[in-house]
Amino acid sequence: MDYMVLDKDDRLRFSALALFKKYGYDRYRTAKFESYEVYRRNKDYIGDESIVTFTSAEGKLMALRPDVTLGIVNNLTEGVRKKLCYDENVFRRDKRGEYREIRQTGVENIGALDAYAEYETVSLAVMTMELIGEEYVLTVGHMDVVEALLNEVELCEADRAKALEYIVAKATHELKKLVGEKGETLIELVSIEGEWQTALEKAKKIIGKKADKAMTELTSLMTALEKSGLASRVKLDFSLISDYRYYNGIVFRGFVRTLPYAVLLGGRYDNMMKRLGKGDSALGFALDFDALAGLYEKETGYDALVIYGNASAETVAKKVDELVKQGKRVYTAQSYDGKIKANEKIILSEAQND
Amino acid sequence: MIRVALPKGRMGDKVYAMFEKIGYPCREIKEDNRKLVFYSDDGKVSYILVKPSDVAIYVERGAADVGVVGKDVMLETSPDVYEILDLGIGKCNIAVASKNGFVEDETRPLKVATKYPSVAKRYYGGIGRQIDIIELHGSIELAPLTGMSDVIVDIVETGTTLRENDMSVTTVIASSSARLIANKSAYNLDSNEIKEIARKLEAL
Repeated sequence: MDYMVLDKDDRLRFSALALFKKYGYDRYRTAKFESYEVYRRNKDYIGDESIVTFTSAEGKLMALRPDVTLGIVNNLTEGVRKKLCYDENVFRRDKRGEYREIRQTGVENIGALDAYAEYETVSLAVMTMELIGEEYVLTVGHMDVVEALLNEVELCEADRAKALEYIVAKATHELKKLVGEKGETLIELVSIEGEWQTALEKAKKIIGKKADKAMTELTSLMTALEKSGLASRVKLDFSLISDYRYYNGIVFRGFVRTLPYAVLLGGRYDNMMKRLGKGDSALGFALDFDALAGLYEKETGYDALVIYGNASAETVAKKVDELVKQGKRVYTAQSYDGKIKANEKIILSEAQND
Repeated sequence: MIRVALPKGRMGDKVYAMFEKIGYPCREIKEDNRKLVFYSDDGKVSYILVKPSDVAIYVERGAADVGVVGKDVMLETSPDVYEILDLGIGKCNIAVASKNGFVEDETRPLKVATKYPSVAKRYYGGIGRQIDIIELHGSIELAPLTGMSDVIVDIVETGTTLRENDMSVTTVIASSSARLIANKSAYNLDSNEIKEIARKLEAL
């Protein structure tokens, strides 16, 4: 297959989809236009941005899908076990009112998640980061561990929301002011980040038996990743948490050198499944092509440029097909304007019409 | 090389002095020139001098790895960055202030003049007070003095400007000081270097 001729971002998308399919994830294609209802009830899932809506011919308020996961979950039959992958555009309006179309390519591992299922999904995330081909790091956190220690501090709802903000921002100085001495263990925990074995050791020492299930889960996951040779660029970061209304448990983010935003976002979202009444567990991740855009400048230049002047169509076709068969990318023009870049320039003269 | 975004002005000078003390001096920055990007003498750190309210944008978008910005700006723009240290300088408060003797008419929306519309909206939204925002960019105290607004939401340092104009603070909304912020991706890929800078700055 002439795979290498494709643009870099297309190559990444197709490699990722191929990887997902190999591990048994089926391609799911979502509807572009859906009723606004389910999104209205879960608007905060989309975060800061807003949903692009329009009114159908029947006067019903519709939405251009703002998110793939929410749409997939909404259309699930309760209690079903599914492994899905997708590659879709979603639509949102940002804080300044600009309309955005974002490509998301990812997987959903739904229903009855056990240790292997969790490991499989996270390992796919690592392999996807490898496909990008740049220096990267995958940071992994566990929301249940943070929650266990946060609950011990007993904060009112407003302060709890602030505490979560400070944790995500790694603003331990602010967290200290808010939780005081009662929160010392919490502060120690969310400051733990780095090489996984050391991080887990440090965490175990301060949590003791408080988040046993979560710590076992994390240990089992990291050990399996290590044994598969996939842990070398994975770091633990106990400050990594997401919105507790939808997410819980394992959460992870992929960062690439020189790209300022996370390019891969993933985690467990049992809470969303329960909220929509669909079952009890799910875990997934997606590549954000908007965040990856910095890596993919338009590849300019062709392998061959054919200037054909007055040559007949058959003559030009013969030359171009010959070059294409050699695997080259060919550009054709009647005359040369000096702007097109190519590795070789071929000029067909009228004489070649014979 | 770590790229640092410094705020132009007094705060930037103070912050640069701190970076110089912890071992990242840059002769060029003190020279009188039109340069916009400066490199430390050992080439390990580069500096850019940026409008204070823009520092967080450079850091969030990865044009700088770390930066120093006031908490007031962060409360207003909520940048997606790590806030790793309170530098303890540039201390001030974001507060509601009005003319002395001003009595609020609670039957109509309160006219609030401010450089911090988001902060003002959040604060008054939290206490359930309807407001009319007048967004200004400088000398905010003039608004109530000329009758254009009822109150202002602005930063207050010594309070001298308010006092000299027969105004005073009625409520402190939040305290502010200079914060060291870091780009999330740069931090996760180079946490040792960035944490080292934070550690040295904290020890000052």
